[in-house]
Amino acid sequence: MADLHTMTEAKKGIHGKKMGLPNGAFVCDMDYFQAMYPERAAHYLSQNKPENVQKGGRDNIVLYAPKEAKIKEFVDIEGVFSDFGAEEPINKIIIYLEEYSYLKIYAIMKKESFKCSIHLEKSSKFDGFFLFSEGKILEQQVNLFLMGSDAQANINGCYFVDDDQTICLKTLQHHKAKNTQSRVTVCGVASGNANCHYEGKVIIDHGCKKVDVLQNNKNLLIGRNAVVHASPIVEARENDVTCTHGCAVGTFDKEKLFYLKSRGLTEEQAQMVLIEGFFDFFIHSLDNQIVKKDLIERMRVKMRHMI
Amino acid sequence: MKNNSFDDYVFKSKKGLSKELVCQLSEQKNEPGWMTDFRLSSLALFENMPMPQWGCDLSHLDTNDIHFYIKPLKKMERSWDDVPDKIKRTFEAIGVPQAEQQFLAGVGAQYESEMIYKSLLEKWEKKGVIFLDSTEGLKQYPKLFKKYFASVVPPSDNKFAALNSAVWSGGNFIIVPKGVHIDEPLQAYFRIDAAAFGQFERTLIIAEEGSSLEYVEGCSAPVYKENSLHSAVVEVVALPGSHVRYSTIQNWSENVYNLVTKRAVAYKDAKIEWIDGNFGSKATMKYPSIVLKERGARGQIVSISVPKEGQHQDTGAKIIHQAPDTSSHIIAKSISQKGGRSSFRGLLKVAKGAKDVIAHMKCDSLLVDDISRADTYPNIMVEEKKSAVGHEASVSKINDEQLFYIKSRGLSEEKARAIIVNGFIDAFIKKLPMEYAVEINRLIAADLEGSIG
Repeated sequence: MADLHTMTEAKKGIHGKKMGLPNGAFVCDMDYFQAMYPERAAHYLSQNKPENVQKGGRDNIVLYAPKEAKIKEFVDIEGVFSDFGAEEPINKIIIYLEEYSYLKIYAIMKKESFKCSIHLEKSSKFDGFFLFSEGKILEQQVNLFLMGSDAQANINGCYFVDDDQTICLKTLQHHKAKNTQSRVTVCGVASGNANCHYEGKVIIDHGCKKVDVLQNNKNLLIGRNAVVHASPIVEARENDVTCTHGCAVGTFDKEKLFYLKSRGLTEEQAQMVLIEGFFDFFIHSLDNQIVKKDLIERMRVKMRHMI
Repeated sequence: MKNNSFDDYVFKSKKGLSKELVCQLSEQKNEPGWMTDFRLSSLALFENMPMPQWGCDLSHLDTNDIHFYIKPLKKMERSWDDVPDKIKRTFEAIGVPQAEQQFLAGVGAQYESEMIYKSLLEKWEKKGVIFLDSTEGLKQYPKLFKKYFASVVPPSDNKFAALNSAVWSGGNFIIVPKGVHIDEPLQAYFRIDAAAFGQFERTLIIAEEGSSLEYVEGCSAPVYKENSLHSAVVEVVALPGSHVRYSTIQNWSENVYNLVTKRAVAYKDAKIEWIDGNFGSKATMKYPSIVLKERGARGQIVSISVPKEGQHQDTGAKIIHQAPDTSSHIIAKSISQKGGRSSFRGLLKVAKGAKDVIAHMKCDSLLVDDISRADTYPNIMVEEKKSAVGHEASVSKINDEQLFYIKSRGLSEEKARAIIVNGFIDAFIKKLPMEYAVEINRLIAADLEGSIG
């Protein structure tokens, strides 16, 4: 794919970089996005301190799905940004879904510090799969802004941390319109001396009726010195909503381990089966076989190392 | 607004806080030197600590505009007949003497800064139960008092614990001897009648091995233009095998800042229950806590908050598991209405080495109208892999289907809503003595009147 501007845009003096994707979607840098969609960019900028937004830099890259664009094939974030020409793995992504659009991404987070802001306009839908596992200290943040009515977002995230890894994972579900729905499920395994911090925040603005929110965080603690700190926060300013959140921290179920071992599996094999079962929701919600196979393989490598 | 309070005070301090006031207070109470020093060092801590920047808005709380000590009577009475008529009428209106006759093991009543009435049934006195006001406890049991005082909540815990440590007055000192089970509740009632006043009671409860008690406290005040402050510290020590249930029904008027520190320590196989109901006050910041210090200890915290217009109730619960085989359960419910705001702050901590811990926290918020607000800020910290910790929370409105079902049985909308709300707080109501449960149901029904339907 080429690094392109149309002739018209160039004549208008619009700078920056843009790369086309199927169905009219594109990836661009912040300069281009600000020039083309000043109102949309203004919302993002209002959510971030100016010093954190480097103009023209590769740190802020936008994935834009125009009105009614349906991108049903998985967008591999890593591949897209590599094609875009980002020399370093980028650490701030803005995803913008216009009215009635649909986007599905999967992302394997390789950058230690990463922030993804997803803005959904009316009746748009987003499915995201995130795998966090690389790096010594990981600071990862995924923010959902449901701006238009009937927007829907589902995020499934999983993390594997071991040895002396530290993960600080934050999610935000900010409902700014009525009839919106968001589901965030984050599951993780902590072994060795790992430190896991999860902060999940839900904000429902006044007037956002019929909002449906789920936030779920499950942690499997298998390391002798591993620590989990979870903080699922809700701020609701509207009563006509359905909002549930749950959080659990535990280790292997002794009875399940015993059952598997009684069928001839070793302790390690039994633990592998239980961890795979723990991530079942994640694996089975992937409908693309290639992506599924890739993620399972990555998970297994990590699990073997942990056990 | 007319001040209806009893005004023949024996002593009323000037507004504001100073070293002189603290020394004067200690002198009035004829306290030992260590307590005066403790008060002065706590005052220094209070002055150096910043105001909390989280929770309720405390910007209108001016400690220079508050009377820190008011002594209403020369001595505490043991018979209602000896209590001055003006004060007696206040407590009779609340129903304290009647309740004492009907179902209580003992009653303590605090008016402004001092306990003005105290009684304990003879059968419990004979079994060695000690039920005194804290000043008297310090005089009569100095060694025991010094051993446990500030052992659970040190002055450095937070700004308002430091303030209470500096100017504490009143509160109860209770010791239940080994193996004694008090099967009727002990009750304390706290009343503020003066305007622009601060009440700083200090309660210390020690349940010796294998003993049990149920303690119920109620609080109220009339409405004035000026703000008042209630900043109590409650310390509970549950020694091995004991069981303490501490219930609070807080119904302060809407000019009272209620900033309270409550904490309990449970030793081997002991059980602690905090039952915490918050109905009144302008701003409440209260997070009853339990430290499960030894194997087999259990803790439960059941709390409800019902904030209305102009109220922010920042309440919660904290449980710290420091030993193996300990278990805990937190149930928090809030009903926000008429623009009231409820915030729940919870903490479940499992320390390293506390194996086989089971802990669960549940927090449900009911928003009666669309101008109210509910927040939950739970924290879960697990440092031990052999533990099972869970948290769940929900925010919802009154269910339309339930409402339809009850109305189809012939009840009015208002009654149907009241039934659903009472069902919502069932876990709290069931933990209270019957007489209180009935009162709470009435109180909530009265609060909801006009706000729904």
